[in-house]
Order: sequence, then C-alpha cells, then structure tokens
Amino acid sequence: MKKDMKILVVDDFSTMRRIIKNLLRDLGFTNIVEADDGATALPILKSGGIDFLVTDWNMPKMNGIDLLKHVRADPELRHIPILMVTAEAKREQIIAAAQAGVNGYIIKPFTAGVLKEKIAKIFERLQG
Amino acid sequence: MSDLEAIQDQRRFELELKTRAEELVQLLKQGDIPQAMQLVQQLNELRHQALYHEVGKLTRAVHDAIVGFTDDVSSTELLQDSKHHIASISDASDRLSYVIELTESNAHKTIDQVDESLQLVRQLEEGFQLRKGLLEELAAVESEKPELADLHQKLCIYAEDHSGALADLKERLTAIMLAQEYQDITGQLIKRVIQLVTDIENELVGLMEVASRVNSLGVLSSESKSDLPDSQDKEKPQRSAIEAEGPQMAGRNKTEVASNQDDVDDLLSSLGF
Repeated sequence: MKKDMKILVVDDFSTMRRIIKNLLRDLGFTNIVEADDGATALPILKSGGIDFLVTDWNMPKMNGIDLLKHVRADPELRHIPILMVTAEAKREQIIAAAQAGVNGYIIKPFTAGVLKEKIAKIFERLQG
Repeated sequence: MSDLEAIQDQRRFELELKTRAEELVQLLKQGDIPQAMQLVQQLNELRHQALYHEVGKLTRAVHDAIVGFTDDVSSTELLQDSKHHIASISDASDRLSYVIELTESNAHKTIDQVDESLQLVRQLEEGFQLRKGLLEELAAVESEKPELADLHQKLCIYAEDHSGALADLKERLTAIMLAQEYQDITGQLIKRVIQLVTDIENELVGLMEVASRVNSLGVLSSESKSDLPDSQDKEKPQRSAIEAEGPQMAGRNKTEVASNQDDVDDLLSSLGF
C-alpha cells in the first residue's frame, strides 16, 4: 500500500466527501480526487491513474452498486480495489455488493479506526 | 371529512337506493322492462357517484394536510424570527430542501473550524518536537553540570504531559469532524420524504384528472346533488393536465411548485371537494 496512491472518493454529499478525505489524509494519503456520483466518477476512472476507489451507494444518476459493476466489467478498470462506505445496511445489499466484487464495505456512521482497518485489510489481501 | 358527514352521506345514499329500488319493483310489476333497465342503469351511476365523491373527499383531505403542514410550519415563531427568505418558501418540499442546505453548510462550517484547530495542533506538535530536541541537548550537558538535573526532570514532565494532551485533542477534533456525517444520513432521509411529498402531490393531480374526465363523460347525472360550477369545470382540469406532464422537482423552482399546489387547490375546489 503506497501512501502516494491516487484515491477517488465518490459521494453525493460534500460533507461526507470532506470527512472521508480528511480521514484519508490523517492516514497519510494525500493524493485524493472527488466525484459526486457514479456518472461523474466513471470519466475520472477512465482517464486513468486511479489506484483505489471509495464510493457511497445511494447517489443520483448512477449509484454506487452500478458504478461497482461498471468498473468490474471494464478490462481497463476491473483491477481497482473498491471500498463501499454507505448507510445501506440490509443483508441482501451487502451480499449484492460482495457478489458484484466489492473489496470492503463500511456502514455509516463509522469511525476513523474502522476506515483505517478496512483499508489495511484490503491491501493486505491484495498483496498476500 | 368529519365522521358525521360520512354518516350523512351514507344515509343519503341508502335512502336514494331504497326509493329507486321500490320504483324498480313497481316498474317490473307493471312489465315496463325498458324503463326498468334505465332505472338499473341509474342505480349503477348512483353507486359510481358515491364512490367518486368518497375518492374526491379523500383527495381533498390529503391535499389539505399537505397545505396545512406548510401553513403550520410557517406560523412557528422560529421561522418568523429567522431570515427573510424562509417566509417566501411556501412549499413543504422546499422547506425540507432548505433543511438539507442549512445542515450541510453548518456541517461545513464545523469542519472548517476543526481543520483550523487541527492545523494549530500540528503547530503545537512541531513546537513540542523542537523542545524535545532542546531537552536532548540539555540531557547531554547535564552529566557535566549536575545542578541542571532537577531542571531537566521538570522540563521532561511538562513536555510529556503536553504531548499527551495534544494527541487527545487531535483525537477529539477528529471525532467532532466525524460526527458531522449525521448530515449525510439526515440528508438522505429528508430527500426520501421530499420524494414522497412530491409523489403524493403528483398522484393528487393525476387523481383529479381522472375525476374530471369521469365527470366530463357524464357519469354524474343531472339529478346529482353535486354543486359543481360547470363553467370552471371545463377549464381547470385541462390546465392541470398540462402541468402534470413535467415531474415536480422539489426545491428547484419555488414559484413553479407553489403555483402547481395552488392549481391543485383550485382544481379541487372547482370540482366541489
């Protein structure tokens, strides 16, 4: 896990994007870009250079699960690890996200500790 | 609609039904089949009309509840004392959108303060690192000058306490920032309520269109007790049909939303509900 990796944070609420960005910065990640939903996130992903994707589920236009499916279906993007940070907490939703190929799933409200732990676990698994 | 009214309506319907039924029996006895068939048709229409009135009253009640909610909110002291533009927001959805806006901007203000405070903590930490370096230098010369030992000891305690408090402060500030995520959750919930209110409003318009179409087809017979003003009746439903085509976007166009609600109100009134 490189500290200079480029992270894309996708959430329709600017407050949430800012919180996640600040927490990531606390963990030492400073190369962060933002998008407010799946539809604006995809072009950023396609333009290349994104190493890690953090996304909300419930967003206008294109939601997080569709974004996840798009990324996994794209040969250029499918390798990107994805962490979902969402208020959607139903079992079937978590299962659906897992089946679509999510690497981590955090339910809002969450703590800084949980975010750190999940990110560490994702990259541990990818390297191992 | 009060329970009393409902009971009265029910009685009126039953009474009407009874009278017509007796007429029907009479006609059948006389062998006047065409006349009897016509009466059956009328009875059928009577039933339709009762249903039509029930649905209409229900629509009116739901619509009034939405309008009432808006009036209710605007009459609270809090909003009257608050900034001017609140008074101009006449639609329930707009108010809810405003709640999202307000909590979002305040959450940002809080995070701004946290950001600046964390910056100050970082400055203090840098100062601590600087002092730590100086203490190490002091420790180096302490062996040569034993009289400095006591001073070094005191300084070390002070420095350590300080760093612990800074770490704690940093943690608390991060917790304050993280607590602002409530805005995302409440915002999502409010957005759903806005959608619900918008959907109900649109459904109301749709319902009134159906009601007016039924009305124009002549289901309401001339003998009906309806107090419909006929001239208005032809105009208003058409107007609302045009507006119903565009889905209402909550909180986007205040004047449009308000006029739509007024139109629903007018339409309901014109149909006698």
